[in-house]
Amino acid sequence: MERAVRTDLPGLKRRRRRPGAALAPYWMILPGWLWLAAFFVTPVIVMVSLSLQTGDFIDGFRQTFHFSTYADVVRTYHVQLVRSLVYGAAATVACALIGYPVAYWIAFRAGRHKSVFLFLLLLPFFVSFVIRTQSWNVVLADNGVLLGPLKDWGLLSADFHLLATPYAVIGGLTYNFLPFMVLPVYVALERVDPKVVEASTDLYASRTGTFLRVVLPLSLPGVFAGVLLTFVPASADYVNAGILGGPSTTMIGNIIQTEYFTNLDYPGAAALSFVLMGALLLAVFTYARALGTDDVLEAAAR
Amino acid sequence: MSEYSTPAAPRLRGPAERRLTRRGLLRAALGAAALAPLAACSVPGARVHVPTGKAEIAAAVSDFWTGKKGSGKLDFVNYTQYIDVDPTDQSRHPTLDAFTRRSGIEVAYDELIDDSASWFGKIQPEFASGQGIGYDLMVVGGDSYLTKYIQLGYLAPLDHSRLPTFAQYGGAAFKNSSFDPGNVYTVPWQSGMTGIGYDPARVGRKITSWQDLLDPKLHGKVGMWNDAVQMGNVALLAVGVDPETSTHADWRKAAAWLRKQRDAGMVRSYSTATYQSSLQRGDLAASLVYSGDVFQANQSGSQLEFVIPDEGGLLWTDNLCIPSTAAHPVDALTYMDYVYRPEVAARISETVQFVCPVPAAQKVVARDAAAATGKQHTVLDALSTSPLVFPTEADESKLRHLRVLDEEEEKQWNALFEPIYQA
Repeated sequence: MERAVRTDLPGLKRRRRRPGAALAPYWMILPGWLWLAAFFVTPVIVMVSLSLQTGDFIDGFRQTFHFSTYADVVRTYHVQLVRSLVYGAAATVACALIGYPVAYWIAFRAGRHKSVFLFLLLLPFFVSFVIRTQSWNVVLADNGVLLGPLKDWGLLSADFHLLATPYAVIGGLTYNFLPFMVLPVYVALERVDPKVVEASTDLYASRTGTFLRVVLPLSLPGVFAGVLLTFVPASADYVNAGILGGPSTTMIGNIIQTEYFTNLDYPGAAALSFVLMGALLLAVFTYARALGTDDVLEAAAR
Repeated sequence: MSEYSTPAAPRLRGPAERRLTRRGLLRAALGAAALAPLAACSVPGARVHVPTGKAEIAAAVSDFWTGKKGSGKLDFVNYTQYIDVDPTDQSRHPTLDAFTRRSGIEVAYDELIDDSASWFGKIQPEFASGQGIGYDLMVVGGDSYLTKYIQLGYLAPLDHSRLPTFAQYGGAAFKNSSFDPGNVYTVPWQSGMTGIGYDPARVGRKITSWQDLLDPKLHGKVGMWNDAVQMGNVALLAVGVDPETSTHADWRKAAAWLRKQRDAGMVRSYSTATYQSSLQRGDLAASLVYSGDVFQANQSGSQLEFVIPDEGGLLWTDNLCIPSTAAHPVDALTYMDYVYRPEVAARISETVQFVCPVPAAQKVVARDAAAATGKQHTVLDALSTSPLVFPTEADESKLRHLRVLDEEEEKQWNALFEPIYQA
């Protein structure tokens, strides 16, 4: 009796009629897989291969499975590698500290002008990354609009400078990647149901309590996505260190660029890129673990 | 909205999770299989036989040029702001217009080159696949990239029988360079000097020597470059060695000099991109500079000095060359010959203000200065007598050329000098 009822289920009926239908989702995802294979998997395989080759540009590179290139680049450039991760992390923390209140304000206080503020946030992106960074070079000049008056008033010593220091580089990174933090946090906060906040106050939670126990936890996935979006590109950036940096602020991106374009040392550059990729993955997964998130990508997608 | 997302609670993990499962083994096997295609990949070398000796070069020249005809078109690519401009219309270049009127050759002129390295990176794949790069004439610095272009067969050997004005007016100091002896592939476009630029008001004294860049008074105010070629050659001068005849031991000495300067905290930044504005603003008191940059900065109100230090300065050359894949090479050759006319070279120098490879242009600039009035007169007069554009014999005797490096030497050179600015 029960069996008869089951066969009447509409889903089963349909499945029986068109046996190929089970494959439909796979067919639909095929273009995506092909895209990934062509533009991600293939280049990555080529780059892995390149990182294990030896030779020079004029006479060609041959596959020799020369794994020690990896050890060599780590030995030579570990200082810059660690520095990049530290700068990236510092910029990410700064972005979160500045970006969260901004996102919070836009989500809860901006009212009907939300879209205007979001647009203002994105406005700088209509100007080239390099030009915006170069502008900071002008703003932060030793006797420029910012430091000049402070020095004139005697608040700073005449020798004080920001350019060519790690602060300038981290500041530049923070500035350039701030919207990548604000937007996902904003989206997460926007999704917080006002009724939950209301319920929290009904249950005698203080404003701080509501924020710490209700709003903040609900927005954490946004912060997580923001951290991924800022930390990864900020650590790999080479523009800020190049324009705002000094004698000892070189980041790993600058080294990869020089190895690739100036020295045409393709194996070295490829190996260094993978070391950076590995270091970033490690950092991101450690962070995810510390946060108690098991599935990084799922958390980021939420 | 009825669903509220909460942060995922940490999933309970048992010791079983870490065991190597059948699936894990399968994954490892797949991973090993994925390594297999790596063995098949390699990047083929592309070294070609470079003709040497008169007869071989002549044969290469006749091979390339036989049957080539003018087509009335020329695609020319250059560095930015490196040719004369019409003061009333920045998009027009009077010497190019005059060339079109004279020869009937239409010129499409682009300024897309930022530096040797990135330009090489951009066009190399097109050369390697045998496609044209879309240009018949390009400007290449006299550095290791030029050597690469030649070794890879990317440049057309020049037919000097069609370059009479170059033979007649080209300055002796600019012919027969060590990077292209006999000008087989290149003729100079503009030349320039690398020396020290400084602001006398900030430094408070005259700078005459590379050793002055170690003066404690300039602590944290010196600009150097993130360019191993220029830095290495300059440091060789600083330790009293002629770069062209330097040995590996000299290089180590030069690197030690740069390191000493760095470790003493003299250097504010290593940058080629920002030194000019930093010097004008006063963030730097003294810096490694290109001569033309100082002349241009002073035209816009700065009071900078350029000095060729007593130990010597560098003379480098940017060169015109024709890609071997050029669609209109004959027209490119016609243009090469045209720019060596003293009137044309003078017009270009009046804007560009680097070292002019046509000494006879000096008289033309002086004549233009005499005919001009007001500010125009002052500028041209300064230009015609400027040792930055037309170096005096005394200056020329202090100028040295860049060391030409082969592949192996280049590796050693970079390993010595790059860590200094990439710290």
